[in-house]
Amino acid sequence: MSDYLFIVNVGDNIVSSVHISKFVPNRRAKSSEYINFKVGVYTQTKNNVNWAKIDEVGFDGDNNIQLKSSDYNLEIGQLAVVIPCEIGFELKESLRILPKPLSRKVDFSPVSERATISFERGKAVSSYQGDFPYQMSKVKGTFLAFDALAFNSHKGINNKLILINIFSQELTEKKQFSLHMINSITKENIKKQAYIHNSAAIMNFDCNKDLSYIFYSKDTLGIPIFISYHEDFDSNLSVEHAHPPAEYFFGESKFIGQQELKTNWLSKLT
Amino acid sequence: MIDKIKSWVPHSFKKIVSYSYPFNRSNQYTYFQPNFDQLNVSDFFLFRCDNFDTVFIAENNLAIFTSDPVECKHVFYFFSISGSNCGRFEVNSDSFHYQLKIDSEMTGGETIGGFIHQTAYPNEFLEKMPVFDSKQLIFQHRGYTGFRRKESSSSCFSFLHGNFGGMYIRKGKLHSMSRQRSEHCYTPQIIIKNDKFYELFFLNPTSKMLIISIFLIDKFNKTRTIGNSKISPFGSYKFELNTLSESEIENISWKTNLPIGRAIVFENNGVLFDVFHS
Repeated sequence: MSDYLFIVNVGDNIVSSVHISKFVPNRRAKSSEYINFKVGVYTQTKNNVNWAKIDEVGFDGDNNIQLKSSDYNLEIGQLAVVIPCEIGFELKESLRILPKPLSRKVDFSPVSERATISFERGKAVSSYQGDFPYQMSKVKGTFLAFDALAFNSHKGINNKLILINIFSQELTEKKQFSLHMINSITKENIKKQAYIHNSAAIMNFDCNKDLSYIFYSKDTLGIPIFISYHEDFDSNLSVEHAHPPAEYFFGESKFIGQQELKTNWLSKLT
Repeated sequence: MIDKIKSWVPHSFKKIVSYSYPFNRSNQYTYFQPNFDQLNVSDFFLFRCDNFDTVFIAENNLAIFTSDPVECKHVFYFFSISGSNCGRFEVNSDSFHYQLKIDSEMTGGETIGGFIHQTAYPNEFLEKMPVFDSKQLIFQHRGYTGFRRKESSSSCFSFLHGNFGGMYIRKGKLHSMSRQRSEHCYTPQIIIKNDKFYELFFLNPTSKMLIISIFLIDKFNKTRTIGNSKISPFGSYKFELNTLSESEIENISWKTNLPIGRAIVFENNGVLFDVFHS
């Protein structure tokens, strides 16, 4: 298993950043403490199926690398994929397929090779330890998430769902996809948001506290990040990714459970 | 060639080997899984009733699984810093999610500690579903905990999802599938900044005393120990780090016998805060 990272322009003066260190995130005490690597930063513009390199960054004697969306000229909804790779790996200027990211595991310790994914608005910062697994970037998939993180539904609170979609394999064209928000009881459509491969779908939404919602796409998989903040004053920013449906189940039942759960929902949604 | 040989080995045999010494040094759970009706396991969550408000978004897994509302009994068990049972709260709801506002009455007056979430459904409902009748599926409660400063003018909670636990109640007693193994070092991908105040919360989801050592690593890779502690079974520990007098940006790491030794980190700048799983 290895993982991509990402930065994204989500608009509304929110800056996203990635922070990664050369220290191995989780390891046995006797295993190597750190590994040396560099990161390549690639993006795809709206109508292009080629990945363009926009940066290549090493540690240069430091222990940490931080990349910010505001340092690159990204349009709203545009992603930049951050790829950890070996120091000697040649990062070409243009690619059709993204290289497999370097694994930062040194033994059998669990926990993915994450980085800090942060979002900053004014003085408020909120972050989580996140990634985009390489295995996920190779399949088309579907997406389903619940509204548990839309709890901040008071007056004046802005809620955003950011759906991060990375497809590392070759594309021949950029298709238009749809992200839906539905009432989870009536299964009625509330809102729809268009997006394309290798971008972030950004859906601003309001919640009625008495109703519950789900978000889905039958077109691609993705990682959903929920952002909430109060518009009028220096408020805390809440940023968290919703856990995937497999996490509702324990142990070896995870993937059977996820498959059945998705079928139960997606078969009822048009 | 090795992969080919591996593919011939039955899955059940591979599983037994991976849970046997010395291959089990990073397995976070026990091999043996209890086999009783309505087994559901929970992560170990943090509550704060000190200068923070805590809310918990509990999931009705069966309703979420079937895509329709199902009556669910949610039960929350609270544990003090020393790991002793300090409170219990029960509620029925058929919604996909239930929002629990945690107060000190529920926690027996404890201001900081851990809690777990358990669910129960009518047996006649589960019997109709072959996957549950055959115990093929075990629900896991990962939930979302939200925190907000008590005196805050902001109505916004900051959320984080559950992380690790494998805990459950049977016949009124707390059990855990989490295990301590060989020593592991966890190094979150964060930098300790020189103008922030940090609160790190470590929860012990195992039935054994957990020993923890915390280190700072400077830019020359010099490591210095800044904390040592013992955390009681099912207890929790708060470590405070005030970096106002420090001039350097550093990395932080800790050593425990937990294969997944993540902490919950509050990064405070005096007015606002960020909370995340390390």
